[in-house]
Formats: sequence, C-alpha cells, structure tokens
Amino acid sequence: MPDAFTIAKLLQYLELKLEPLAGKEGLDRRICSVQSNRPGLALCGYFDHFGHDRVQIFGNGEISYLQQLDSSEQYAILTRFFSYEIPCLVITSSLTAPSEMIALSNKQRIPLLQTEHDSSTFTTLLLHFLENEFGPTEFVHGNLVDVYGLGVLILGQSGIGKSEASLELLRKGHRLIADDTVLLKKISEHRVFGIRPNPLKHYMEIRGLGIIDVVALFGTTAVGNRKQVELVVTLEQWNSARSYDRTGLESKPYQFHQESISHVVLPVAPGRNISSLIETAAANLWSKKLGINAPENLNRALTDMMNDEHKKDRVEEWQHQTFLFSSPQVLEVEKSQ
Amino acid sequence: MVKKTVAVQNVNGLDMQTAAMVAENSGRFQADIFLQQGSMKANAKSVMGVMMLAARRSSELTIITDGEDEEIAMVRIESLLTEAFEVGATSS
Repeated sequence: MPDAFTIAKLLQYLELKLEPLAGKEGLDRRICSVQSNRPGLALCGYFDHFGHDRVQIFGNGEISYLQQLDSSEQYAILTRFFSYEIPCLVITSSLTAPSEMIALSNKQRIPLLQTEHDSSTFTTLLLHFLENEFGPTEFVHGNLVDVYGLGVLILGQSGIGKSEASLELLRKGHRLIADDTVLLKKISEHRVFGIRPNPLKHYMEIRGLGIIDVVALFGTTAVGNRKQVELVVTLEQWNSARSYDRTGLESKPYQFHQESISHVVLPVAPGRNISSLIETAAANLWSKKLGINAPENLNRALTDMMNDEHKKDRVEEWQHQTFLFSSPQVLEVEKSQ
Repeated sequence: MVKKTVAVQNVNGLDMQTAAMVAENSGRFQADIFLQQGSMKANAKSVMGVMMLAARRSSELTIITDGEDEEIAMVRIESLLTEAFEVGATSS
C-alpha cells in the first residue's frame, strides 16, 4: 500500500471532477482505506463504528438533513464530526456546503471537496481509483500478450524464447502489451492486471536483431498498455526427469497475492512451436470459460463406458471415438496387427 | 519380449488419471510397452491409447514389454496396474 496517497494526489484524477472548497491546508492528509463512508448515522449522533478513516461522502440526504437542523444543533454535530481524524469530505452533485462546514474544515485543516458527480457515480469512480492505487504490485520478468482477448503472461528464464514467442504471436495478429518487464497489479478481488512500464514504450529486444520498434513495424493495433492477466504460461527447458501435464484435469494455478491465475508449464523442445501452443492454451482456457472442459468430458465418457454392463457392444463405438483423436503411434500399432 | 497377463486393480479402472500415470511411467523406459485386451492393443506410452482400452477394475490385460529394459519395465507396469490405488482421491 503506498504510504503517500494524499488528497492532493486524489485531486489530480480529473475524472473525479473534484474541486477543493475549504481546508486546503490539509491536502497532505492521507487516504488509507479504499472504502468510502456515507456519514448519515454519525450526523444523527451515533458515532459508534464511525468509519472516520474513510473518505466521507455528503450527498443529497446528508446535506438536506444538516440544513433542516437549527444552527446550534448543526454546529454541535459538525464540531463533533470534525473532531475525528478524517482524510477528507466530498460533497456530491455540486450541492452547496453549509457555511459551518466550510469554517470547521478550514479550522481543523480537513479538506472539503466538491464534485459534480452524483453520490453513486462518485463512489464507484472513487473505489475504482483507490483500488487501482492500493493494489499490491510487483515487477516480473516476462512478456504480456493479448491472445484472443485473454491476457497471457509468458514467463521463463532468460534466453528461453519469450520474446521470440511473443513476436510470433504478434505476427499472427495478437497484441503485445509488454516485453521483458511487466508490472503486475492486483485490482479489486479476483483481477490481476499486467501493465507495461512506461519508460519501455513498445520496444522489444530480440536476440540477434537488437531493439525493434513494434509500433513502427506492426502498427498501432499491435500494441496495448494494460490487460487483465488470465493465463500464465511458463516456458522451460524440456526436462526428462520432470513429468508434464498429460491430461489437463488438474493444474496448479499461478499465485499472485492470494489470487489464482490459470497456469500451464510448456516444455520447450525442437519441433514444439511455442506460439501455436500458447494460442491453443488461450483458446482452451476460453472454451473452459464457456463450459467446455475437454479432459473432464472425455473422462466422463470413459468412466460411463467402464461402468456400462453392455460394454462389449459399445467397444467399437468407443474405439472409433478414441481413434478420431489418437496419436499416430497408436494407429501404427493397430495397423501392424 | 516379455508377456504377462494381470487383472487391473486400480479402483477406477484405467480412467484418465490412471492412464496418464501409466503413460508417464511407461515413457521412462526405453523398451516398447503395450497393453492388450482382446483384439485391442495399445501403446502404453500414449494416454489416449491406454484410455481406448476402457479397462475397468478386475478386467484382464496383457502387458507386453520389448527392449533392453523390458524386465524392469514389466515389474513397474505390473505393479502400477495391480495396486489398488485411486488417483486423485487425496488431491481432490
């Protein structure tokens, strides 16, 4: 969590349309929670569980409640309200701030801001920005490519061919987000984004070619700046001692700050076209999202077959089904019979 | 060449995960390894081939190994097929 997320920084988000009304001396106050608070209960005098460390949103309800109080009541409740350590107050829908509020804001050096957005729009935007700001981040050594609309993070040791695989994917019409270094950021629950670090722009390093400019070579549609990471592909040197996934029934997800992302480990060996395998992995993930799980379907068919008392009658059918997908090795054996 | 007929003891028969395990283990031997059931003969190094047999528990299979390490391969595959384990039972 960044320790310097100040109100001054919040004002820089132009989309929030925030204008400081008062308490400008407190613009260095920090926001420490992504949530915001509608202080209705507090204004009615109930301060138990008052989320004072959150941004306080004053909408139509809060302001009109304050307006119908007589001035001494209003002063009393606002004085109590402003005695808490509050990051800032935001008045939505460009409502007019009661003069007491402006005075107290200046006195306590708690910024009072105004926005033209209505409360629900502002709350949503604020949440979005704060989540973006507060999410855990990490730089990883890898490439991020948008394959069929899915963000695919390609990891692996230096020289294994990440950039080469990305280049091939680019040439097949997919989109490069980042080469070599990707900034991963967890944004809200269940979403991890990969972002291209700004200084690197859209340059790639290909061994033997040096630095190439992707936009100049492939056009603006070949690049992007950020993408949700939905698949992690780890490339590694084929290791005969290691067993690779043969069925796809179980897979160990990639973990990023308690977030699980689908993960495949692809061994690199002569004759294995990595970019095609990555494309297929992305297509496979997409089909799983649509509810088509190939290994599960096949396993179910197989188990049904084994449990079927009349298996013998159906062997031919099963054999036929299997042969449609069989490897050439098996077919040869059958032919030689 | 070594041949031996065994009864499959794996709890779920040769389902996908068991087939994957058989294929994975067979692949570690240099010898050719086949599983035969009636007229069907499958290369034990292929997951799809082993699944093709749709061999359920206690059905009989003939293991055929052929090559330098055929003896060890036979021992390994035989023990795999005749152990009453259930793949994935603990992990899921």
